[in-house]
Amino acid sequence: MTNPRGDSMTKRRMVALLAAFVLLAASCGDDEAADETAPEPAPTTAAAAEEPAAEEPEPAAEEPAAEEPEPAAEEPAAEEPAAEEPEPAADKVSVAILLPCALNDLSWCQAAYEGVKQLESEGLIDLQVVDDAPFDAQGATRVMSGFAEEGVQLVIGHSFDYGAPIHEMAPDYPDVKFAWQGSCGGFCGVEGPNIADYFMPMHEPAYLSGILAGGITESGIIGANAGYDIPVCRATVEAFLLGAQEVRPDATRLDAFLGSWIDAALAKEATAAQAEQGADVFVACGNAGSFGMIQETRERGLSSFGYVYDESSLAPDNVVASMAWQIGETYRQMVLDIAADNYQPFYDVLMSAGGFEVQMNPDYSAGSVSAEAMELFETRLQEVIDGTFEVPFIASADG
Amino acid sequence: MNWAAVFGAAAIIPLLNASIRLAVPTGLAAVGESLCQRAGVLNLSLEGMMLSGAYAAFLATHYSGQPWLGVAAGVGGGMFIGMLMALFSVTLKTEQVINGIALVLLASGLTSFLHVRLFGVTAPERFDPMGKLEIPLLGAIPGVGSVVFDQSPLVYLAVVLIIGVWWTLHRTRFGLAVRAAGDRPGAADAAGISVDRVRAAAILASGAMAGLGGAVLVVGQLGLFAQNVTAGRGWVAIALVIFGRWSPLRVAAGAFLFGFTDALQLRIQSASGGIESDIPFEFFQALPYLVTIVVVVVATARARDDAQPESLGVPYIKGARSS
Repeated sequence: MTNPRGDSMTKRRMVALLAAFVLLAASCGDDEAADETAPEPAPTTAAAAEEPAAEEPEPAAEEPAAEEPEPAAEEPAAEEPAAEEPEPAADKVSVAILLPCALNDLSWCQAAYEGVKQLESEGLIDLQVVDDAPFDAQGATRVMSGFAEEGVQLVIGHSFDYGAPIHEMAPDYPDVKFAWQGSCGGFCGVEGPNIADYFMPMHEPAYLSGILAGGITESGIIGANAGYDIPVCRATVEAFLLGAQEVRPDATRLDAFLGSWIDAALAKEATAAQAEQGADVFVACGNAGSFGMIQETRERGLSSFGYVYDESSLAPDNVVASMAWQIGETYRQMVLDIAADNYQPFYDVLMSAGGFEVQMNPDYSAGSVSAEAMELFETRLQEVIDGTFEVPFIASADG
Repeated sequence: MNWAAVFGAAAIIPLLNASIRLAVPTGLAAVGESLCQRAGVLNLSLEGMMLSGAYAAFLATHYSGQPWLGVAAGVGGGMFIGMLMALFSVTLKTEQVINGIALVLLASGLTSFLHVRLFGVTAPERFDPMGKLEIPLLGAIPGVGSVVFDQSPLVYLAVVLIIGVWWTLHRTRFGLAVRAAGDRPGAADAAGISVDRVRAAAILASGAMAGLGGAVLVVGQLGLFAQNVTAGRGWVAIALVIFGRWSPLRVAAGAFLFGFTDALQLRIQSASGGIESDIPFEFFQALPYLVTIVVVVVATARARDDAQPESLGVPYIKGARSS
């Protein structure tokens, strides 16, 4: 104050620092935004995290809010448990799951949510769900250790990013089982007697979808976008092309990585760019990536495939089929193994065990799958389900 | 690599069109922010304003079926966060940086929360995005016509608003008051200008433009809302204000440059072999930021004056000696 010049210097320095921060924040793109998702849940997560704690004795009270909107998922439940309820009712496995996105994202989190709800409705588990869960290690640890302290038997972190915090905290809770979606099979340094990595075998439905794509494409060019360069995404787009090449040996692929799981508008532009370069059938690896891609194919009258969940409602004319992850089957095995005291370090529930489905969209009309491709698809589908055809998992440039 | 697919005669117009589509949401927010910062308020809530606008636009369009109502609601959604920012930063004079970040978190949490509570685990509702509006005759000019005169009506609106902000800032009494409030709030106050009112108005204007930017994403492009759909554009916009050295037109030019580089990198990635390419994809993603940073450095080094508003980020407390 006494030295206005010094004062303004300090200010200037502060603003310069801030500018640097902002540039950094911006250049981290949606990592930063994803981190926003992290602390953001402050309201939501706090509420969600409190809920189970407060209502744990009578989970019935926690559910109605979440359940009421989806009676559809609830109904099949009501029928099945009739047969199964008697035995497991006594020794249900208590499960808590962290979902890093919205329950109704029509993709990653919704598939997992419906999977665990199915097990709950079958009477296999007591369930606590945190949606919009913190994405940063510290926030995730806070939520997960809460469940572990509570004595929850299985804590599931439904993201690759939950591997590190789980690796850190799992030794402190030897009686609690942890699971994360790593798809690593022991190569990511996340390990421990009470940690399981579960696999996302999307290369299988991607290969089969690729066969359909090969029978649709006129240009022989496939467009693909992926959030980040991670093994599952590589394996997905590589398998997709291999499938297409079974029908169209000359098929090629255009790729774009977005650097984001949430930037639908950027994905839409990536799809536009690929369409301008001749691509006419599209595949995505990432929630928002698939939204933007599907919208662009809708506007251009081209064809695309749904990611992880049935996304045909986004463009009934344009979505050929969706690669729908039946994650509940993976969780079911974990729960059964825990009940049998036989927890495994790695769960890869493939299509042969019902782990993934290719859900055809009956309304698809933007193109047509050639008869030859359709026939090959049916054959390969059966072979993959029988386990007689192995789709290669190509996770790196060297194969 | 097939360069013709990126720069060929047939590829240039789609490239420019994509640049505009990518630039408009960020550009609107950035130009609004430049006005706000010229008034002395460092508004970091921009991402929250955009997101809130995006969600309000989605809800209004979904329930009314009227995209233009959605656009209006988007403006309102941005101004809602703006009201909170003004309340904290101007009325209560609390730390602007903290307010801004807190409001981003609020908007992100609130929109996600509402989206699940309102729509539950049913398919997210979608609608058809607003179509293009070709300006008669001009749109038929080969080349230039389809870039400049065959765009979403929201693009024209954005251009008008951006020029409007420049005009307001440099050619009107209110603009003079804004600049005074940002540089010498004490002097402005002595001259009879209500610094608080001017700053609050600037924040609201910034909210309106950022909200519109969010609405452009949802109503003009995607036709749906997804969690955190703005994906960090608000933060980029704040960087662009520094890039444009607080001048609305330079900021808008920066937004276009950023959008252009982004459109370009997507095309180069696709044409250059994608995952088989030896160049790591992170390089392409970093490209818009690298280009922007280089231009900032060059522009700043060449500039003689200090464009930054002198009282940027400093709450104005009447009677207290501030600067």
